[in-house]
Amino acid sequence: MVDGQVVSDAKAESDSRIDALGQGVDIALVEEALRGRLEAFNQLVTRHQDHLFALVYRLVPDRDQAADVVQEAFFNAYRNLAAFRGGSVRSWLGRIAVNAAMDLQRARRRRPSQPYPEFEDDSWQPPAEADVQPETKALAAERSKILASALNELPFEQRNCIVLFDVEGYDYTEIAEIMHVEVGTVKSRIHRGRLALRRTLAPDRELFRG
Amino acid sequence: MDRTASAPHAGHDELLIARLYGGDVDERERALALDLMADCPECARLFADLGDIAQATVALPVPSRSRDFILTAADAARLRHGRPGWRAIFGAGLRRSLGGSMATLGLVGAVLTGSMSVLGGMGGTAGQIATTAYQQAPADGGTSQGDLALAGQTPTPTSPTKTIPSGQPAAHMSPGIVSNTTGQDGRTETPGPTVPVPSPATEADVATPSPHGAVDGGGKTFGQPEPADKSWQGGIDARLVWLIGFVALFAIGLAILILPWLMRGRGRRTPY
Repeated sequence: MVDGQVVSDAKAESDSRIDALGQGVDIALVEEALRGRLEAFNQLVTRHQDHLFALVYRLVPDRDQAADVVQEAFFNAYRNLAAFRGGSVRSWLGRIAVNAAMDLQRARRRRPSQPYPEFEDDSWQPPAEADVQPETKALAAERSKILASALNELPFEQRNCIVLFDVEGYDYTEIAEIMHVEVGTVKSRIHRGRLALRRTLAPDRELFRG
Repeated sequence: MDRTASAPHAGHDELLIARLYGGDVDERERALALDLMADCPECARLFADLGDIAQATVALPVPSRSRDFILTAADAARLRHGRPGWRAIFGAGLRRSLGGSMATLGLVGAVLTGSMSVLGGMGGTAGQIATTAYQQAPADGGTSQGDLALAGQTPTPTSPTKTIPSGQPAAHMSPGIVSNTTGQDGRTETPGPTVPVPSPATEADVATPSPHGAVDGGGKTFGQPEPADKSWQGGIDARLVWLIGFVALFAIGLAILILPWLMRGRGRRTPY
């Protein structure tokens, strides 16, 4: 049996180590960018664009829209570089990207579109190790497709909280700041979102049992 | 699903198990949740499922990004200078107050002015209906009844007929209201309903129209409303100006409120 508290603590510790490694470089690049060096800012973009795209894609499950959101996030970051108050550049960029994604999600709520088009396209397959058995690979692809669909059925407030907590490793307080809600609301959204996910995945539950 | 296990599980607090998984329980709740999981296989399965789903979520593949997001020099220049100055000048609070006040004032003013115009217009219309009816009344000799009608006088069939002495100018007459039963001696021959006939002066003016309308024997212009009589027309014009002003005020206020919201795009509420 997995203790969630232990898993969360280990995840947070791992993330903090990663942050610490690049933190000095990021701060130096921000300072250079503030002096007007666009190249310095673009180095920040290069360092964080994969992470931001992965984050945004889980919130906005459309490749093109996710790319637009990430671009907008970098525009916003550049425009407001002077307002950076220190701390983790990665988290700062993540917050900007999540806000941009939430704006898009609100717009999409009015104009729903096909979620996760990549999973409908057989030409796209998730990356996998070379030595993975074809059967395992097929199962992983099927699991991803079902899970992505179930995630997309959640209200985006719950989905955002789950992704930020489970995938990105933000803690409750950080998510509350990003989403402009109370910490208790974040906790409630995560717990209820997980229960809703489980209910949605009930017919395919065996696929997810480790 | 195991029915024998589900029956007692139906009353169990699944949210408590989810909170336990999220580490969001105090000691008492933790003990309660652990007891539930020890006694109920479905609760234990729920806890395990939450872990499996969380792991699958983390492992959810992400397609490679389709492009680089590096900023060009043109992007940078646009972003450095693109922020409108008025946004810095007008804070959100001031903008909302100003826009809201202007829109409200404009709307209220437009409604009031519009109502007044409608009421004034109805009065004018009623007058016009009366004069139109007056124009359509049977007359036996008048060719300038339109002029008479424009004088704004409404004939009253029951009003006493006025005797017009012969040879007397029509200056003292009520313009356009005379009896058609006037005899050669200037006396009224038969009382009865009166119909309008043109006065001599009016007839003369029909022959030689004055740019200002007909002139009676006393040099007084009639045949078109007196300045005091056409006050309602001038009022409509003034109200129209006011109406346009209020509508413009409303539109400007609305624009102040809405345009920044429309222009905000997707980057709003970003914590910087």
